[in-house]
Amino acid sequence: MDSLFRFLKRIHFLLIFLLLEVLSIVMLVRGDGRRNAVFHTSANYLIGNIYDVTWNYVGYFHLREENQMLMQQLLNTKTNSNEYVVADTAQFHDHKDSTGRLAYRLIKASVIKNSASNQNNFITLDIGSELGVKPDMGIMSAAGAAGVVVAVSKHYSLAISLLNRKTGISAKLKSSNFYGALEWLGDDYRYAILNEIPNHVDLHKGDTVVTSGYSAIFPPGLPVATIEEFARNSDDNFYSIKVKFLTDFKCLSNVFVIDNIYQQERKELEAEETKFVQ
Amino acid sequence: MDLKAYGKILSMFLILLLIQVMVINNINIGVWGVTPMFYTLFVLALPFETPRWVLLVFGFVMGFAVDVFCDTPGLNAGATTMMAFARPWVLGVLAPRDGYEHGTRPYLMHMGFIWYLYYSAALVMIHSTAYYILDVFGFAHFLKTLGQIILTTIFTEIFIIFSQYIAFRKQ
Repeated sequence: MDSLFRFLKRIHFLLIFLLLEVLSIVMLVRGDGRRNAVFHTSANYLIGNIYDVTWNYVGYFHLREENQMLMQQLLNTKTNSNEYVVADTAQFHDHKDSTGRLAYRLIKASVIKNSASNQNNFITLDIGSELGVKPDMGIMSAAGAAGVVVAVSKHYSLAISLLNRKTGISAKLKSSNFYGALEWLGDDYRYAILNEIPNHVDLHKGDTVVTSGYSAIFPPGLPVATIEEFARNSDDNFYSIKVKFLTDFKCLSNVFVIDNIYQQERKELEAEETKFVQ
Repeated sequence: MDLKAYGKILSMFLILLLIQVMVINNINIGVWGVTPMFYTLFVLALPFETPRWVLLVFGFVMGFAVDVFCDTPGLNAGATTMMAFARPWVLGVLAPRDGYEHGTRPYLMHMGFIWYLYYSAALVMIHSTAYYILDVFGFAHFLKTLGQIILTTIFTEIFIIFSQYIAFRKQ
């Protein structure tokens, strides 16, 4: 017994090290990904407040880029009024669907924390359940889609950025409506890849990629990216396409949360699918 | 180490945590978004005579505190624990012939520029290596990870060396 204690005492440094390291790795493995939002603490009240204070000062540094983007957006609005854009400056903006029914509501929000350097990046917003934000709502910047809300508290909400290895979004080509999955590879924050576009489609550099609307998170036709490079693969029948995000994730400060008013109804209906799949 | 020494360590902990999350986390350099890990100074500046297990626990707690603010559970904690684990070994390699003099601290002003550069660069590099390998959880994007490790080490070093001239003077 005595020699056991002496042995433990001799290797206590290594033991404590292994214990703490295993603890870290367990947290790392269990804590990220959208289903397990246990550790999503930056939406907490105290920490959210600290970031709010910081943002009051740091927010100014991004004003120039943000202004340029808003001017560009205004120009787009004037020249092409059919595009999915937000023209007025009120707190709530509405968007009707093809039947004229009010289907999507936009809620204005400020980004108080954002990252682009990890493999799974998150965005913290300054509004929460108090203003109607719920998990599974999309987030768009003035330029295009930016992320999906995963957790909310009363005054803050946390969203997974499109710069994330865990989730892809469903996207389609604006010109031809062929759809595929948009995925970020975890390297350059400006680029992603678009999978599953068949070889016979006519592509051009600069073509716009928009959300498909198949996922009930983003409305159809919201711009996401433009085609940067593409190549035909000889071993399968799909293109490999490199796309450039329209949203600049390094200077994200004003965004809209997209509330799909009929999301719940649609999800319930689509859940019926399982009954017919055998 | 007495109570006063631990009080000093606690205030250093809080100051470094606030500087890291409120100021330095807003710095994102280059395409890869490299952020200096200035808070690692906490592990560097603990006194020579700190018990080794205290070193590990302090390192873990510091990393975990940064994790809480960054939504990265375990990432900074794991890397900082690894750094604390390596510190006794690095100190052993860099030890003067007669050991460390009583009353000196692992600061640039006490130990000289060259010693401090080796000491801090070695430990900061161990920290960023552990950080980025834990982040990708493997060796995918090898070149990107390598680039991030080197750049993070360099930028962190710049901050740490500067801090030595500003805040860690000889009494």
